[in-house]
Amino acid sequence: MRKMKSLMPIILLSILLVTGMASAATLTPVGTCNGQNKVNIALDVDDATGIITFDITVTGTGLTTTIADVSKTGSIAANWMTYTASAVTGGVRILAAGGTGSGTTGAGNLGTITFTATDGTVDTETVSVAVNTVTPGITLTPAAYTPVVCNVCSEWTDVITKYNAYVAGTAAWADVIACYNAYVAAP
Amino acid sequence: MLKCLKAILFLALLCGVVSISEAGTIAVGSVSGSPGETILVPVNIDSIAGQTSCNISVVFDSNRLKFLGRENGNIGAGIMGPKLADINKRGKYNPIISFMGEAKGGTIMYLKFAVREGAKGDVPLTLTVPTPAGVYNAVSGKIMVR
Repeated sequence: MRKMKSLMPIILLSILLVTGMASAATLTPVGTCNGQNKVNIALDVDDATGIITFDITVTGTGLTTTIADVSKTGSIAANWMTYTASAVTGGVRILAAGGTGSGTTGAGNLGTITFTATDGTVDTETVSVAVNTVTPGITLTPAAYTPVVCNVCSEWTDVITKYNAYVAGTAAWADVIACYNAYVAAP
Repeated sequence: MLKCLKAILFLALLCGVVSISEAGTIAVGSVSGSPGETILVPVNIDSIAGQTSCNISVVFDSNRLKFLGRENGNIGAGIMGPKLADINKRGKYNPIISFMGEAKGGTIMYLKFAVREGAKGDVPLTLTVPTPAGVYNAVSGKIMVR
């Protein structure tokens, strides 16, 4: 019993260390089509428990975005007191800090970014996430992005979008024709 | 110094004149028609202005007109457009036109409309050229219902 009593502080310290220990979570960029030429990237995390601040950079290949396209939405994103974005080559860097964000738990997303395909059609483009810092010492591991295909060309506006990409020099005339043929064949 | 400035101004003016002369005009004709009648409205271009293609938009009142299709003009243009149902639903015909060869000017196409029963007054055919921006002057037309 006396031995047990002497071990009590060590047991309590261990419990405190375990509960306060830095945890690990995964950050996955998930794309959903927003028309033929845009894709919304939700920054999903499987467990936001303990995150007080985060600093991440999201970039796209074959995609462009602006700061204005960063949306502070979703179950987690809305909790951060300050949430700012800055432009980087091919993407944006998002910083969020403090406020009620420190009490965030569970899965959700850190925000959504809308990217536009430079060739007028979302298909094989990729998105990558770099985690710069997360406090307090949480390991946030970026997961791979699975490209989504939005090359539906079922509406005339899709054909016009593709044509505008051709005029801008980011799509070939053959792409316009292919898109037009898909539109014609669509029910 | 003054001479240099004058020379620059002259060159700028010259460039301005050249760019004005390079602009083309696309114009929708004005035609008369009676309810129940099918009419052809020309879409003309005076110069392709160095372009290989363009996207035009003709907006009309689909309550008074029914778009039936198009017929070829005399410049051999390639035309891709929306489906008839879409056109009449939106009251807008906005095809993509590709200019073949060395087309200078002429009639791109004829728009075929039916004047709906009960239609009255002038029905505007409002033309814009969204793409390429700033290259063509757009002249709208109308159908004058007798």
